[in-house]
Amino acid sequence: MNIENAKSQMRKGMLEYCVLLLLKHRPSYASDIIQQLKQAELLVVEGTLYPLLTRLKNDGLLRYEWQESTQGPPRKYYALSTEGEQFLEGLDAAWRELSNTINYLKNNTPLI
Amino acid sequence: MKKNITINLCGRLFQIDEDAYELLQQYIESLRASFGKQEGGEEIADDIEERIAELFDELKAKGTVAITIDHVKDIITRIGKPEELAENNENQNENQNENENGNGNEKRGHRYDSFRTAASGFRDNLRTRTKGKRLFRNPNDKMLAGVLSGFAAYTGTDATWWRIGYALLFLGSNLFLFPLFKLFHMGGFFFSINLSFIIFYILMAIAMPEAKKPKEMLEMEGKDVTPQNLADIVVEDQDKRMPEAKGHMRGCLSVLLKMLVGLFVALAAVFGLILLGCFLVIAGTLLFIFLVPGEFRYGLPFDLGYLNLAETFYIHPWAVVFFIVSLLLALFIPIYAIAHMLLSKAGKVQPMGTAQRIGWIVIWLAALLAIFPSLGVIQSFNDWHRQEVMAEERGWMTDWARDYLNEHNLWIEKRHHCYANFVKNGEYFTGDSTVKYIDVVMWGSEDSRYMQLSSMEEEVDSGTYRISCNARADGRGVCLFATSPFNKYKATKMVPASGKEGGLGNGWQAVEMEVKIDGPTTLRYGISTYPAFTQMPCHAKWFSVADFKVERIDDK
Repeated sequence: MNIENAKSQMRKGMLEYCVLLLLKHRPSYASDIIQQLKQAELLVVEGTLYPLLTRLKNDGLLRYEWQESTQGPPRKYYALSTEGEQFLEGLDAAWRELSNTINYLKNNTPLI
Repeated sequence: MKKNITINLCGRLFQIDEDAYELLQQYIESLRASFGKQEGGEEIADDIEERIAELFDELKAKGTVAITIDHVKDIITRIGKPEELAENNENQNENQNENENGNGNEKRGHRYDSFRTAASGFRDNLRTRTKGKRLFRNPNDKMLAGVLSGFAAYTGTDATWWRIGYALLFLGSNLFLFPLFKLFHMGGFFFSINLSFIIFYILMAIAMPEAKKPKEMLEMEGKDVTPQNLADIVVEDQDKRMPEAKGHMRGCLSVLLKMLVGLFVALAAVFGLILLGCFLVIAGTLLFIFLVPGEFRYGLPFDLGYLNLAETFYIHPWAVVFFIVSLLLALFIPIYAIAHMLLSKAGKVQPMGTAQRIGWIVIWLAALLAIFPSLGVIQSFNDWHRQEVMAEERGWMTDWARDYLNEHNLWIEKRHHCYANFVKNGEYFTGDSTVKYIDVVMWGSEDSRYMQLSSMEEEVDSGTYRISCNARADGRGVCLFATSPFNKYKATKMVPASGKEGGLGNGWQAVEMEVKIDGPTTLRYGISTYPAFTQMPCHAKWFSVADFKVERIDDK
């Protein structure tokens, strides 16, 4: 069971990054984000997304607008803000560092 | 079949089963509760609601018309339980630590003496059992109002024990009250019911709310309010509502009701038997009166066996009736029961149901119990009656009457059926109303009544003696007498039957006679109506006598 816990912890850490990445490629509805994250097996429980989205929005990294729909009531349409894009670049850099470190460790390359 | 309602979720209408709706409502409420603490929490909850509505739309698009509880459960699993979503985990860890510390306290308690350990152990046990629980009436396990079952749920114990204990306490306190009433002479057959048990139950039923919503049911048992638990409750509820047998007698009242029913049956039966018993007793008494002759009718304590039921019946009819009825019941119920059992074994008769058995046992016990007080009444009456008769025989009289007799050296040698006041004043012949005299009134038949008043024996020498007195009587047969041992020297003289008029006054007459004695002997004198002694029948009903005198009239 511990491997599941570890995976879950890793996913939790990555979730924010992944959401920003998704939104960078194209703005989406929450349900679309959920669908894609589920496909990538990054999300097990859908409800986790909403607090995250709200937090990101409160931090100014995301913005949304209400989009009318012929099929039902208006839905929130999320997109990255300018700050969000900058933040994402920072996250990209951080990811590269992390990825390199892990590769070195896997190849038994000394870090120093 | 389930009830279905229409809900408005985020502006869209959905048809949803009632149980699914309840679950959904609980879920959304708990989400709002847990997110409410955060900044922007309301928005998160709104977003989730929106998500749920989307999922409902998908279901509808796929052809589902009614949203069922399984759908809702699935959705809850997909979206996640409130504690799974973000910031709640840390709080949960803190709670766990608290629990462990609670147990640690219990271990420390063992250092103290054993009583304290037991007390604190009990307290901690109770605390652990009731931690996080609320006291509700338990509707899932209720027999009457679910009060005791609610206590059981609160303490995590089995409701049956609570019910048994309560019923026992109720019955025990009543049985305990019954002799108390007897002790304080509050009436013979006082039925005592300890109402406080009933009142307490009713008060609790009013004060304790019933756990209606699934959330309340979880709180009652102390489980966490999670959507999964809520779902379980709702499903359980469904299962329970269906097969509940309405014909089942309700628990804590069940045995009591059966006993009360048995008691009513018993009372009705006893009443019927009492009527029957009355007829029997009356018939018996009448037979008795007409068949048994003469003086035995009047209740000397040796006629109807030892108990003198005929006489007692006039004074204490109910006691006699109860006695006879109880005796008959006590004797015949076991016989009936055995006969019934044998017949039912042989298949001729259906075996008795529990209520019947209990009823008969109750009647039998009541009969046994009733024998004693009624017998007591009968016996005490007989004792009193016997004492009265014996007192009459022994010459019960007032003190001043006894004093008079002692003064004049007189004593009652024989009497039967005479009044008790032997000494009176007021009708003395001189008109002086203070002078006391012997006054005897007799009753009963002439054959049965008699009286002999005698003086103490005096030693006398040979000679002739005049014995005299003043007396009056209303009929013939009252005699002045003097006698010696073996009636060797005996003389009698009848008192004139002049009633209350004439003579010396008020009917008094001077009576005198002479007797000749040879040789020293002892002499007694007095008044007698005893036919065997006076040699004549006595027709008088009353007589008075005074001023006895003995004088020697010769000069030897």
